[in-house]
Amino acid sequence: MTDRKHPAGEQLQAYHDGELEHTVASEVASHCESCESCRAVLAELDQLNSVMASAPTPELPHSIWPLVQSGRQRETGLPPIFAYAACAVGILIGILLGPIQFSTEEVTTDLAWSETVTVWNQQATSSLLSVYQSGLE
Amino acid sequence: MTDRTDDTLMMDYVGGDENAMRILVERWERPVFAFLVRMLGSSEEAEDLCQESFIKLIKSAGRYRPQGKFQSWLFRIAGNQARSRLRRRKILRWLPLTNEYDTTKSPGRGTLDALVDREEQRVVQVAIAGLPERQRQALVLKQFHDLNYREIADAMDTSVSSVQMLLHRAMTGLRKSLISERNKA
Repeated sequence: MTDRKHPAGEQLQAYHDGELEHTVASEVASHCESCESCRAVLAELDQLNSVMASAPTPELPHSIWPLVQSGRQRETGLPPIFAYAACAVGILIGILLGPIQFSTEEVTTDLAWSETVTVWNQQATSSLLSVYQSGLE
Repeated sequence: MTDRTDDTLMMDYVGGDENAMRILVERWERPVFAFLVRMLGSSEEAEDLCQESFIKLIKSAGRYRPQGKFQSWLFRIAGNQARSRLRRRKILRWLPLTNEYDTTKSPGRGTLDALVDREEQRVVQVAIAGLPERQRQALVLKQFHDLNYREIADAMDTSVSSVQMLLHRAMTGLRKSLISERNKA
């Protein structure tokens, strides 16, 4: 870098922030020694930094650790997919219980039928007994 | 033990030491909160996102590689949270800060000096707030959290040369805003 060629703005900024490699930083330093306008830019950067340094730091009113803990517990609770799964299980149970109810009705019907058969049996038995008794008579 | 490094604490946490995370949160909650206030301009939102950032940190702890870059990693998480919140707000620029945080603390100074300081601080805050989001992020990380260019690049998932450019533009923008404010006054 010649003394006449100004460093780019980014380079001057990086030089000011101490972020340039040693050799490049030496070149910029050597340029600035003889360049009033670049020295003025560096002085402005100094000013801006000191103005910003005077800005107050926002204060956190309390530790957030308890909030982090509770938030984490909330997040580690059952994910929404489980709610959908629960609904699906409910529907499935409904589907399964339908036929069971139907087959229960069938059983009931069967029970009624067996009662009927029992009544018939009793009637038949009593008829046979009466026939038998009449035969004896 | 509180003298464990951030990397050690992260590894201890992954290994099952719950207390290690508590130490990390208590060590970093203030800087993260301050960063988020400067990014969002709202203490309430900053507190909310600070909490979210640490929950994200916990959830991604298993993916952390201990290379001494914890600060960049944490600020990357917080930065992503802030940018996502800003996107949700559908604005790319900060609303001007007014009374969001106390700027009156100037101990040991005369009243007039304190007033001048306070006004100057307000002007600086508004000027920073007016910067485009990425310029503001780079500037805040550099100026208020002492990250170097490499660390800022890691935190912003970009290159060192981009950080150099962002900072240069941020300082140029800040300078213009301050000059314009002073001319108004």
